[in-house]
Amino acid sequence: MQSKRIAIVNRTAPHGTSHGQEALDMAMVAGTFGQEVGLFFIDDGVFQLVKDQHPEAALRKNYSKTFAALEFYDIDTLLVCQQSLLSRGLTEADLCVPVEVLSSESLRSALAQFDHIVSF
Amino acid sequence: MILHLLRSSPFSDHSLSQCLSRIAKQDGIVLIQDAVYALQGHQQAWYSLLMQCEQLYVLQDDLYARGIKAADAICTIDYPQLVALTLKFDKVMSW
Amino acid sequence: MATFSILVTSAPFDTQGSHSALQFAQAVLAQGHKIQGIFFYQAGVNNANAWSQAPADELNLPKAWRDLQAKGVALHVCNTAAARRGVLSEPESTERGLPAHNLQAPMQASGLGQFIEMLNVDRVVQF
Repeated sequence: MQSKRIAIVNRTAPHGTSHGQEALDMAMVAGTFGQEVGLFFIDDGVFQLVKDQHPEAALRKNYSKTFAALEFYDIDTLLVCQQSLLSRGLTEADLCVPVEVLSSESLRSALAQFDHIVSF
Repeated sequence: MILHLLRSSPFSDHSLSQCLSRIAKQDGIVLIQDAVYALQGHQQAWYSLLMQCEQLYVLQDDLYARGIKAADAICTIDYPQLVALTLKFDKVMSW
Repeated sequence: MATFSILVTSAPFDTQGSHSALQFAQAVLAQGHKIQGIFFYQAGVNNANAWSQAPADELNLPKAWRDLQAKGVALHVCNTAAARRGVLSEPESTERGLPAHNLQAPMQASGLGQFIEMLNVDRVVQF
């Protein structure tokens, strides 16, 4: 049977809740299992990717370092909503890893390419 | 074609607006749990956009549970119909 | 007949998500479709806490899950997410030298890999 592609959509900011950390855990396992994974960052989810995070100061785990290691899990699809960045005072230069920045419309078409969608 | 499953009250977070800002014409929206309160949003900026959605459905059980009534024009569904809808659309995204 | 997997990420009792998932799952089965499994993740793992007790006049959610399992629906729990939230299987509990465990059959302690294997279905629905 053909393997299904999974889109993991990050909609929430890091550290305040554990959503981002557990979304990333799922992405890494999916990658390890050879599943095709797309990581999407929309709305507050774009804050996940901000560079120079020091969550240790808030007694939280610094999982943002893991984004740079995703290529070792064969995950190279990191798609970020341009409008969400703009409205939150961010640019691509503020992010910790290279990503693809897409308009809302392109992002939706990209999402439509996946078989299943889970959101965090 | 994505079926968007909205779960939270649009009066307390932005999920509905965020969904509406990205939705394609052929996508559908189902309001369940606290998202059914969206039907009370006549005064809100997002309301007209929501009403423009051609495939808008509201879970009857969750409306009834909350004492909220839907106008006749609103398509209310039960769980069996929700199951059928998830199959009519290609995939489901929960918000 | 279509195949479904259901992902439960919301906390039982505190939120309605588990109740919605249960009602959805029952409707899926009633229509003759197959549920590959239900995977409990994030706060959803609290559904697997065998020590949770509902007052007599409220839905007994653990029993409702057991009834669903009796109809052939596999119930998987992410053991990492569960351990973080104090829900431990017997091996996890023994390994940590704890006196008891509260994750037991019909809930199965699984890893996220189990969920990935559950993706080979027509629809995944998250509650």
